[in-house]
Amino acid sequence: MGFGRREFLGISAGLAAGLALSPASWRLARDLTRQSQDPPWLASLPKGQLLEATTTSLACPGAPGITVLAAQGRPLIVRGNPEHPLSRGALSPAAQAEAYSLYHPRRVAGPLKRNAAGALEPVSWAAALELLTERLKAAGGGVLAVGPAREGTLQNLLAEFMAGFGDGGGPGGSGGYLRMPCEADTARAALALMGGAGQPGYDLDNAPGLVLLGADAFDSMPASVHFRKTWGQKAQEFSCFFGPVHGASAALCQEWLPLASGRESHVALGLAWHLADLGRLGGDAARIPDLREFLALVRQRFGPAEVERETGLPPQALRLVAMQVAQGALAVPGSPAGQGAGLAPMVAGLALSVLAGRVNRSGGVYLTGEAGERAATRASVVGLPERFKEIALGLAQAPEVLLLMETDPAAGLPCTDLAVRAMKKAGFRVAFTSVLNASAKMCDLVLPAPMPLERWDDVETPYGLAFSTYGLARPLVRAGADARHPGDVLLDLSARLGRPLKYSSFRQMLRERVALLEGSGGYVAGRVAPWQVLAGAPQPAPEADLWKALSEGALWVRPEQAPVPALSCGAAFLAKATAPAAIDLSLPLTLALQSTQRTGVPGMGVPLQSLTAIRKDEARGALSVARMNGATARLVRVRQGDTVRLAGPSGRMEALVDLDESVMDGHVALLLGLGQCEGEPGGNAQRLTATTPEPVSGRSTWAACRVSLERI
Amino acid sequence: MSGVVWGMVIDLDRCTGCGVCQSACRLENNIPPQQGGRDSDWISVAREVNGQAFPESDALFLPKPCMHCEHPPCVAACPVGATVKSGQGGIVSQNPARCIGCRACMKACPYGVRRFTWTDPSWPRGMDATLTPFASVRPKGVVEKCTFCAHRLVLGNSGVSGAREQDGTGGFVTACAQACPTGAIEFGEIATLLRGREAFALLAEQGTGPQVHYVTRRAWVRGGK
Repeated sequence: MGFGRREFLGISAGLAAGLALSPASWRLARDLTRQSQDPPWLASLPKGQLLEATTTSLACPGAPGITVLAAQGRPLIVRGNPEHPLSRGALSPAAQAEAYSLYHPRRVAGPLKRNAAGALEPVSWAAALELLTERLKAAGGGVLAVGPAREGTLQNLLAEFMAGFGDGGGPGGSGGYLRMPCEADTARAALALMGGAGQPGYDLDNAPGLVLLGADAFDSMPASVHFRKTWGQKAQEFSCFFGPVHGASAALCQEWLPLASGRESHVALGLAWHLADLGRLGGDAARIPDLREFLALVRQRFGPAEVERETGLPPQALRLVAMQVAQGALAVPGSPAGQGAGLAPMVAGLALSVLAGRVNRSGGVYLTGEAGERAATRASVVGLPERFKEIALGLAQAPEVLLLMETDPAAGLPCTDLAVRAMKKAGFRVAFTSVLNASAKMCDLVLPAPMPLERWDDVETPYGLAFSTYGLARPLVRAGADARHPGDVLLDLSARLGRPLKYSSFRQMLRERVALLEGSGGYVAGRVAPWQVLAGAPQPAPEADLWKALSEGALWVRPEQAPVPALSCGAAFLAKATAPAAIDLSLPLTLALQSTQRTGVPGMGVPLQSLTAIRKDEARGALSVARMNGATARLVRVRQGDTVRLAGPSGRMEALVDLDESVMDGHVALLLGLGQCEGEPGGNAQRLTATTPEPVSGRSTWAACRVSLERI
Repeated sequence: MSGVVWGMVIDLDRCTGCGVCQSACRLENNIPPQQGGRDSDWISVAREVNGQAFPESDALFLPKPCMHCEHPPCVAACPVGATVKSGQGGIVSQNPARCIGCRACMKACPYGVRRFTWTDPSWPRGMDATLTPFASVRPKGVVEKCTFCAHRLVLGNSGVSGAREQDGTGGFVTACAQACPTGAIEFGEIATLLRGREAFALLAEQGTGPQVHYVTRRAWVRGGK
């Protein structure tokens, strides 16, 4: 029997009919289509109902309100809460990272102890606490604790815990409680020097104009999320930024007036001269205790010619700015890096507001009281950079036990190499942390802390706000690690040391704190915003159940319009602190450090989903980018793309040169917050900084460090 | 909402280059943290300078999403219909399941806002638990781009869409516009957004009719585009 055309067609038709009728072929086609469209090796998307919960961001220093979307009990994404009075839906990268940071690659899964071989190995909580108790008992007063810069109940608890070890923070003592440096502490110290109390805040909401005297109000300043939201709607108002680099804060201002790092006091006092010359002192200027001395100082040393010589700014430009200040523009002092500038620029900037009669007035500077006890007031008067420097150089005794409370001094302090040396000298190092950062890697004991969406905690008045605030962060998910709240651990340790504190848990502490707020004159911000109260609107009644409201993401606020004692202008201090300082001519460039919320918060590293927001003119691979303008590059004989070595008085780093005309002459701009952990982009620019004591106040300053640069 | 054309107006004088729009977009649309160092953001923020030496220099930040053009050259270039001009408010959609990765659309787009997935997406261990249900995970070898968060349009005012009261029935807002701290990015019906404003479009001479417009007081920016 032959196999002809007819048979072939018959079999083919049969096969085709069989395939068409068989479910197997259709199933195969469907599976192939599904695989091509949704390959099984790709991550699958969550299913189920989406739920929303509101709370306050703990990770972001600006404490914005957040909405967390969750499915199957897992937080998926953090969005801004449009109902929150401060942020009104806006966010920062640190707040956005709260959901995915629960799975941080460097997350500490459980307590770790350094073994005899020098490696960190897992240990039980019971064994870890027993060991720590023994070391604390043996250390006596030689216990030094380092707390984070932000305020909150945890910091108060740490201060109270450390008080039990006696005054080890006094001269010559090796113990005590210290905080990471921040601009808020500088501002409070400046205010105290001028005869005030509390924390200065700036009422941008009601200000008809804005003069940023170096202050990074629209990026690294804690209140910047609120400030950006506010000033973004007021872009037509007069605004100018004094600073060495045209960055984020300059971008939102109408004018950038280039000003060398470290010359902020000269501009503020120069503006004061023009204000006096215009005859536009505030109506209550006569109440200023040192008015005569202050005016004599500015007339003698900060006239237009002197200020032009020191800053290069033409007198006409300053005159125009002074006229704006006279008409109500708000002057905000500070430093582009958010710290390290010393007291003088802050005192000079605040004195300008005092002179213009803008203190505790709508659109001016407010002295915010405390939402409760403030840990900063209990911190050692000697700053952390000074103490670590003394320990590193052998001028002070190293502590027996060093407690690091959710901080990373090995990466975040100026003069990083000295900080690391100081830490190595401590007898026993303990880190309370949720991720294994540079400092935790050096510790003998690492105690894991819950991440923001896993814990109760509170946030107080971000520096810069003109009113007191208090918000609660609540847990929305169980801890993904064997973590315990550092507050509960401190309470446990207190009991083990035989001096128990009066609280049963950290949550109870928070409840008592909130109960105290109920009778302290504030209200929950809702329809009436706190800045409207500052502008004269009647203050709403207090909330009936404050705990419930706050734990659902509401914000307690207290706008204060109480009269304050007449502030001085700090004339005696400024006369000495602004005297010409020595300059090291062997280091030809001035470091213009920039700080941004894109690099996250110290100790956590750059948020993973913000890595691509680090631009190529800020870091490339493991190298930071050193930005300078063409004239400066010619001066130091480097070109675009050169790899260079920058050297400061106590440290050095390599960087790539990027020519950028947004940086003023004689300056090299570097972004802070990079290279703090292995595998992160860029290098840690803090290594280049060196601290010098400010005249009179003795505080460490590192804002305008000099560096040299050579091509390699 | 028939006849509505969605678009954006970006105020360049209000952008501080904070990058929050970028990370909000990445989180909303399941863009993995890094893709071999190549551009993966659906919205980029570039720094633009006026080319003058200090002290005459000036700079600003320019956020650039897909322009959702009225006459999108990418749509004409796509051989398989993976990218189409949608009837839903003029949004230029992108279907990665249909995309064959020929990259003709990337070549055709004058704005350089389309991204090719060079590798399969990967997240650090466990982090894929935070993927959202709003955008499929794209495999390697396809082109992706900004969708104006079209999933929010589908979800409507259901709470999770991010829509505000003022967006009205059927209104929505993109993730980048919602997160922007200064309000530099405004999203909505483009005709309403442009009313009374002197806006300009990038590469207007190309005739693609972009639905993303910019405003600025700086003459050098307007002159250069």
